[in-house]
Amino acid sequence: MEKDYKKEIDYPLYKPIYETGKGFYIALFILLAIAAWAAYMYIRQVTYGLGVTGMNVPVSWGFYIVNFVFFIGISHAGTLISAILRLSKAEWRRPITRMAEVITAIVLLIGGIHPIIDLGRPDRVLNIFTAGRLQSPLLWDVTSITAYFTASTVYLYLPMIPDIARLRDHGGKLRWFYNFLSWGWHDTPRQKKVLERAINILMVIVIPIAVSVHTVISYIFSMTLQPGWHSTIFGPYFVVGAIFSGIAALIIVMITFRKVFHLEGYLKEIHFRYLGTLLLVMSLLWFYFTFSEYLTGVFAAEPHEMRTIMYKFTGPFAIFFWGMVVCNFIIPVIFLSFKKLKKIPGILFASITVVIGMWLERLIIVIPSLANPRLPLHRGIYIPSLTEWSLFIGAVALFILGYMVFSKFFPIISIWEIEEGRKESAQIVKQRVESYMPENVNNKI
Amino acid sequence: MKNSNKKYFLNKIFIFQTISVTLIWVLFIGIVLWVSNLVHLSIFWHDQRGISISISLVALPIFFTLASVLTYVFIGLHKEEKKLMSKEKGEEE
Repeated sequence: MEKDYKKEIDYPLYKPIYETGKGFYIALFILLAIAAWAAYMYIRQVTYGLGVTGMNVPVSWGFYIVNFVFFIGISHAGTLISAILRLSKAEWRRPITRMAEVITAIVLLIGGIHPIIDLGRPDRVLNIFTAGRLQSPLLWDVTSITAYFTASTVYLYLPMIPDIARLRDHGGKLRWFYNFLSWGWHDTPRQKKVLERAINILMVIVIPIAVSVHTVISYIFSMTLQPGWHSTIFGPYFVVGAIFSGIAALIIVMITFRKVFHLEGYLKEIHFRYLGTLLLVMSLLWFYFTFSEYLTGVFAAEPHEMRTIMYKFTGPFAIFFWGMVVCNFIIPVIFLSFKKLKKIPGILFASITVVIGMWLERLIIVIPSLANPRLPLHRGIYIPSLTEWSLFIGAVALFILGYMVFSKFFPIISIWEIEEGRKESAQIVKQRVESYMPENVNNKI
Repeated sequence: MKNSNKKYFLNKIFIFQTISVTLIWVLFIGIVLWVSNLVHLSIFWHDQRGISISISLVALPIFFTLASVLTYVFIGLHKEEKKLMSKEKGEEE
């Protein structure tokens, strides 16, 4: 018998799937128009070659590689944060994990296609399969991103099965689709045990994969001898930056969905305060790594290295460098340290500045080192073209579009985890806390 | 939905589900073949064989574990569904 979704306790979570407002179609149209424009610009680039971009000699990497690193960094919002919260049994994770995992799956796809966009001849990507060199960090990227994408998709899908089965039981036109995806789920204790075991295995696997992905991405820079790139701390520096931007992106997505779908009952202020605290910690860590990175460079004062550093501190990129410091450190620390400012609007503002700041950081890493090469070449300048801006905006539009489409087919908050939390959490947490506490010695006597 | 129709529908769905799970193994086999080709090329060109082999030794078990976990869940959930269905059938008879 089909169930009426309107009678469910968690009706607000079903609503976006079964009821579509005018706003959805308007947003869909605008985003599709932007994506179509970006596709046109890309076809134009393939037709005329990379001459339509701002890339040149010696700045042979531009927005595409900046966006590649940026989007892959954002992907750390999802699977990694979700896995850590699940692993640490943080009960407040329940309305957050799904939203975070969806970010990873969509953003990895978008980030992953950027190196192909960067190729003047995209057909040459096939050379990876026929004549790739496994000792090249670029190929390590291909392998690690594929592994991360596969792991993240599986990690997103498996915890969705009980919710998909609920949608199947509600009937409707897409029943066959939900039936196909629900894998015969009937909520039996044995099925729960199987799923729980699989999620536990994935949790453990996903964390090192996520950490390795951004470390490997840093290797495409640090394995070279370019000034500003050849650094041993690039691996952890990139991972910290990725988690930092990921949390900020997650907060922005959560606040947007809370507002649009009226999910105030699920995403409460306390969730944002906890995530805000995490963001603050990551901001301090980011500053520590940035400071260490530049301190060692300035202290050694190697001429090529200094030329790149001064290009960032006082040269053409000074505005971006100091803008990055303001966005990634000064604003988040001010807004997230004081209780008065640490409300939802303040946390949203800090998160937006962090996303902008982290994009600037990627720009600052990629361009100045190429503009000041170690080889006896002239100093370069890079001005992105309309094609590059269009593809950047197109990528952002694709991300929003992907998220919107996902929320039209699946619950954006895990319904079964919320239900489980309501029924069992208090009892489980009580038992857990009691098991942590030392026994009362007087009772023993 | 009539019982016979329902059974036909569920069987069809099951076939498509099995195909979709097989795809992860296709991906795994594809990656094994690809990596083997690259290792073969590095040996042929005397091009840092050690690195190629160690990278593949790290990458392949990850894909294998992911495919195994997915298959484990698929089989586990369907086994239970079959049990439930045969129980239902027994009650009807």
